[in-house]
Amino acid sequence: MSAHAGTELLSAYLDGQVPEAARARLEAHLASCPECAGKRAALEAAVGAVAALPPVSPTAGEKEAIRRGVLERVTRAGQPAGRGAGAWRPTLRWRLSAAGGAAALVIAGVFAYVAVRSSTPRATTGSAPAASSPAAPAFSSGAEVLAYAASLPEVAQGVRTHTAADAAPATDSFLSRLAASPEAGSTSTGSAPTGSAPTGGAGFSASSPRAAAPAPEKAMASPAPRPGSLAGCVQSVISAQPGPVVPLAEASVTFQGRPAWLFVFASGPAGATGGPLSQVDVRVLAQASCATLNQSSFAP
Amino acid sequence: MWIADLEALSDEELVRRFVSDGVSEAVAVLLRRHQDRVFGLAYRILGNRADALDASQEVFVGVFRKAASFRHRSAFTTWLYRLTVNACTDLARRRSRSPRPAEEVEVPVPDAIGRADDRLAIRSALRSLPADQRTAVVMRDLYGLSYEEIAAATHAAVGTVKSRIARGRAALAGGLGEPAGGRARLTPEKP
Repeated sequence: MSAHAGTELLSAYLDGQVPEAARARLEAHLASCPECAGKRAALEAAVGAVAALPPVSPTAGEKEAIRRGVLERVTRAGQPAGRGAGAWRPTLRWRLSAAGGAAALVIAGVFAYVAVRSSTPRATTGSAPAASSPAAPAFSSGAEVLAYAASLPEVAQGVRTHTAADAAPATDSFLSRLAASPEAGSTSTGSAPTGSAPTGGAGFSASSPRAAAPAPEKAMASPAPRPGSLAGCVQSVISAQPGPVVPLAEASVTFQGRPAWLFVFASGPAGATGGPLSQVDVRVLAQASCATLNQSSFAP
Repeated sequence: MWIADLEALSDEELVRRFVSDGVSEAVAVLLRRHQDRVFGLAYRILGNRADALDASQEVFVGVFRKAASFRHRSAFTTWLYRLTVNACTDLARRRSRSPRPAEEVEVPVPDAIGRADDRLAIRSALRSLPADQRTAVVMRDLYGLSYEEIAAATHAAVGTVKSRIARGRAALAGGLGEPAGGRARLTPEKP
């Protein structure tokens, strides 16, 4: 070969994409032509520079965002119309267990917890819907809440696969996500997501009837969630449970005219360490006080 | 359904379990398997994490919504790459009509101090490539895909892919400056 080698040929050569005969001619040419050998070296350097770029992976938060977004969209697509109000869609975050390869057994529990955020029960119950969340789904009775919770895709479409072993990691990531979310409550991102086990929600124990005595092992020194945040409210409820809990979903709703939180999670009996979480429960809590307005449970 | 059982299933079977049987855990398993690669590729094509995140979501939503259109004509991963390239193209098109997010500074890793400059140079050179060349080069040299796989993922002929890779590499070589000992400098194409 006497003519200089073209860029495309040299590039293909680096990939082993040049047929035998042509390759022999090219190699002979490269051995005698410094210009083409230089071009080859430059191309090879470019290949090496790209190959040396560090791998970029999504962070834990980004993975969570991907998972949540995907689940929300693919699950909604399979749902009948009727709950498509775009305004409240972003407030519903589906909890899907990613319990690492643990051999988990079916559970069947959804513990729906509706926290209504109004400090003390007001005399104005039943008045005009709260202006703060006009698009949230509205319920007037516990039966409606329960029916709604039972119709959630994760409950309707299949059984859950959580065990007591999932409780701690699932709760940690759930609370971290809530704490990091601007939707987490009126106090926004007031509680820093540290990823460590949260406290029993000291800021709430006084006003929550269910958060009387945090379990000793949960009373670690980490930043207490600020009163009024969804994260703090959820946390106080979880810490008041006698057994393991795996949060599933929460939503901003309206209950009897007041803004409220719907929280769905699986729970198991006290002392359970490995068995399936077999209970589904639904509650309604006042948003400002975290007081329980309604609660119910079922075992699907 | 045991999570351990799901882990053992093929990608195609996971999609089917979700689409036909409503097993939502299948989504999590599939994400764990592929999200790093999809996100990483999208990041290198689009240049920032926010867009890579959006693209990744689109890809996996597409996996489950368009499952019916995947009929084993190609490997699942090839299909996944095609969805990724499509998502990136769509996103880039939309971005061209709206302000771009700020480009990110990749903090040099401590054990690669000496190479930090090289990396900045290659990153900046990659960004200046036309998107089709950048996509082909990244898929080839960073992800090790074959010409045929890249062709399938980018809806292009193998010859076109070969040419894009060559032009992309030549432009990068020009952007990086002369390699040690080399005397020829390749002229990068203007995008």
